[in-house]
Amino acid sequence: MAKFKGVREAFAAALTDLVVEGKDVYGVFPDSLSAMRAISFGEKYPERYVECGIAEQCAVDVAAGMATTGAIPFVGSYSGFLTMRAGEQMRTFVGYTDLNVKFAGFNAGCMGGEREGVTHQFYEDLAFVSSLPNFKILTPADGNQMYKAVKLAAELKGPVYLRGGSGKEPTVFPEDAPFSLDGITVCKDYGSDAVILSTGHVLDRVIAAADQLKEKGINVTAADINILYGDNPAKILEVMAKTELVVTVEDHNINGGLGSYISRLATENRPVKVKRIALEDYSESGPAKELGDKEGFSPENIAAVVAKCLGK
Amino acid sequence: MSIKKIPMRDGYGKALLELIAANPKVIALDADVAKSTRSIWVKEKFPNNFIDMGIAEQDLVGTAAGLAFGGMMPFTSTYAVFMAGRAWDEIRTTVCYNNLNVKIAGAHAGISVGPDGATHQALEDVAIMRVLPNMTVVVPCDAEETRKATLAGAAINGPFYVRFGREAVPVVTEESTPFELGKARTCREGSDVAVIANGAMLYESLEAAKILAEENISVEVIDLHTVKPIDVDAVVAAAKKCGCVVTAEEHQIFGGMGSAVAECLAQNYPVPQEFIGINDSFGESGQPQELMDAYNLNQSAIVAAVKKVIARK
Amino acid sequence: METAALQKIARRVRFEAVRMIYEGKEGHPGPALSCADIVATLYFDVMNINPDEPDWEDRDRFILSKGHGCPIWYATLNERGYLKPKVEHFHLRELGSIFQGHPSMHSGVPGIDMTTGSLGNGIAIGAGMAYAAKVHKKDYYTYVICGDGEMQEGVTWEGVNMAKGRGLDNLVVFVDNNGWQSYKTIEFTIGQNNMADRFRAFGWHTQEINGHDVEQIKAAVLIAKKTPGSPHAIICRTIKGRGLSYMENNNKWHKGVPTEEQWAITQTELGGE
Repeated sequence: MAKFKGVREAFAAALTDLVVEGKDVYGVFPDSLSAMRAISFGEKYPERYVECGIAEQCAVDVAAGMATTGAIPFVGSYSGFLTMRAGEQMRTFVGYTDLNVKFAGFNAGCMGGEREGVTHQFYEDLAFVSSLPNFKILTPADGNQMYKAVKLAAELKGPVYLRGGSGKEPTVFPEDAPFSLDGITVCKDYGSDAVILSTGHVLDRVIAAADQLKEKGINVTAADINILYGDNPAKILEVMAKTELVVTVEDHNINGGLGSYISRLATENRPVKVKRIALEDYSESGPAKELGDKEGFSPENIAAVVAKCLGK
Repeated sequence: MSIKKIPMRDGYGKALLELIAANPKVIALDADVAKSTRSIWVKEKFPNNFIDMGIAEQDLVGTAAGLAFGGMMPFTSTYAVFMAGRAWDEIRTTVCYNNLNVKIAGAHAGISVGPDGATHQALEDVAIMRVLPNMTVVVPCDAEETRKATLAGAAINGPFYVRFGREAVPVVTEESTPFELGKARTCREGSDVAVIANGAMLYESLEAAKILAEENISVEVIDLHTVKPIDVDAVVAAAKKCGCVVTAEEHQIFGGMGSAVAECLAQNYPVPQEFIGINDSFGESGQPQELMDAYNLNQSAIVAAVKKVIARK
Repeated sequence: METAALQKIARRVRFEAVRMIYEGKEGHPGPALSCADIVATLYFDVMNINPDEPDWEDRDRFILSKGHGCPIWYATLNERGYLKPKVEHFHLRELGSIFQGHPSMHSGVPGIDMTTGSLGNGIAIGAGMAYAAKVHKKDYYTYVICGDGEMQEGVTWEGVNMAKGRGLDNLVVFVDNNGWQSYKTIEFTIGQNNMADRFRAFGWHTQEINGHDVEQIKAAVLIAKKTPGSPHAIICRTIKGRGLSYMENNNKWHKGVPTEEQWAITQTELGGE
């Protein structure tokens, strides 16, 4: 397993390793090879680098066509250019056909697109992909997890959507930590005053909030949700069962993402209060850290929201 | 007794004619399916207020955005699956991010499109539209409510999505029935369970309530036509009054109105909820009513869900 | 296959396509009939296929990008022996039927390589299949039939561009240029806008033929196969509803069901041998 800085390099490293392992994988890129940090992959395996030009709908269709022959194409680009520009192609020609196409969507969230601004920040993708039958959604929190998620995606049969941010996110998981097949990893277990559920690259902030809360005598559980809308939420429900307050944190619109998923699990299984911390409007340009803080993802704000919900 | 049925799209066409008669800046655009969406009525009566963009949905939305910049009020229409699917990027970044005054109609939505099959059955459009800031999302229950919703969409400044089906559906509202964007409408008072529905499922919910009344189960039925912005007060009040909720919609459960209600309940007043909707599958060809039955979108499914959710109280 | 025999098959599948719409009481007969000769020629003469082994990995691929024309495809697959036993009643578009309103690769019809129905995507998907053939060192061809209306979709030209850029000379695209779309003519709606010249401008090897002349169809494919280096467009002049007097060039038949009387005419004009 190679060393890498963040989710993008991890994606490219895993794709390369999959070729070395003899998998019939391809990188289908709508002018996104460089953004995917996959230039060395393209140079090393020119036949496995399928360049489609700035044409995302074409890239998804090409991947669908390739998958009918047994190939395992990974379409890599910015998450919104895939889910929004080529959304119908993802739905009808990959979802409905249940073809073995994998999508890696980066620049997810305001911190994923950071200084590029709204047109290159994507916080709507989960609402769409979660509504598509047959798709599995993997949201690795850091590079180590992304590497394993890509490997897992190649093993899973059928469409997979991998969500990643800027590639500069902090590493939270140890290199040898597995990518949880239960869809949840408890990172801090200080108590059951609240359960804070995180998805993707806000995890370091959630863990920091849990630590801050502990200092104030509020003992929470902080966990990473890495599979959204999965077939088996039993472990997630198990963690939710120990508390009367769940707080969700995600760099995504407040509708249709993690918070929506957890809200449904709550009302359908055990009605419990769910407070959602997420984006409620379009964001703006800015460096990831400052932007994330401004949008409510600072550990201080997360801790304050939890404390307020508990009346403390 | 036979029930009067009218396709909701007739309400859309009627509203367009009323709007254009009053305001020549209203213009209808379609992508080669004007006959189906009823925007053809505009072409017939006000040919200068109609553009057929051909089979080019992204172009449809892009041109509408340009017209809005130019001071027009464009109403775009095509099948919901192609509108929300193929033109989502344009709707998000060009229309919603710029908060443009573009109105969008998703026609032939839901599984009741029937024989055309899965490629033409939009089951995700509400999820897709609901996640966009600045967007208003309305799912009316009959032709008259579609007419009122379309008129109400014209009265607000900003992006607006109205969704309707293909089939003739029972008439459940009259001209005098009140309609206010963003305000849920209580259609029937009850106390044991609140059934929150929209689209064609509202009629089914009202029928289910009658069946349940015979078993002494008192059902409140709420028409949640505006999915976004959601009427938090009405949803919470219903939950407080009844203690449990069933949502019913002709759309994927993930991301649709039921999910919006779950978010609202979980955040404000968590109570047990059961979900009637498409359960994470694609549709198929068939006659509309056959499909509604095959996918559990009918009165008996609502009756069963009500009993289940009451048992969870 | 001999021209006369191919013509006979084309007539037969036309009849079957209209029959399944008549029996199923819904469907798109006009768009099915305009590409009948191309589909029949591909399946009975051109393509390297084996109906007994529909998933044979070296088979030529076929995509009906204009998915609403599927009755002609279903009829042709049935005539060619893909369905075992041969289907007598299609139950087109009925609940539970394998013959969906638009073709599905998972509904149970053998020989459907790709789901379609949402317009504009066939060329890009075909490019993916053609690309896979190149990297897998296979010599199969991928054939796509597009409608002329769907040339209005942007993704069509993304696929055209990419296929040329990747040198996919194993991709052959027919455009069923019947001149109509769902509401009116192409010319009225947005313009034909130099259909063939557009493909030429993208660097495609482009031919223009009569899409109802099976000899011209066969010849065009042979020429395409002998012309390496770029993908192939065969622009076919066709007549919507071709083969039935009451349907030809009448766009009322974009979607529709024959009456009893029209069914009788159908039997006279297309029935029998």
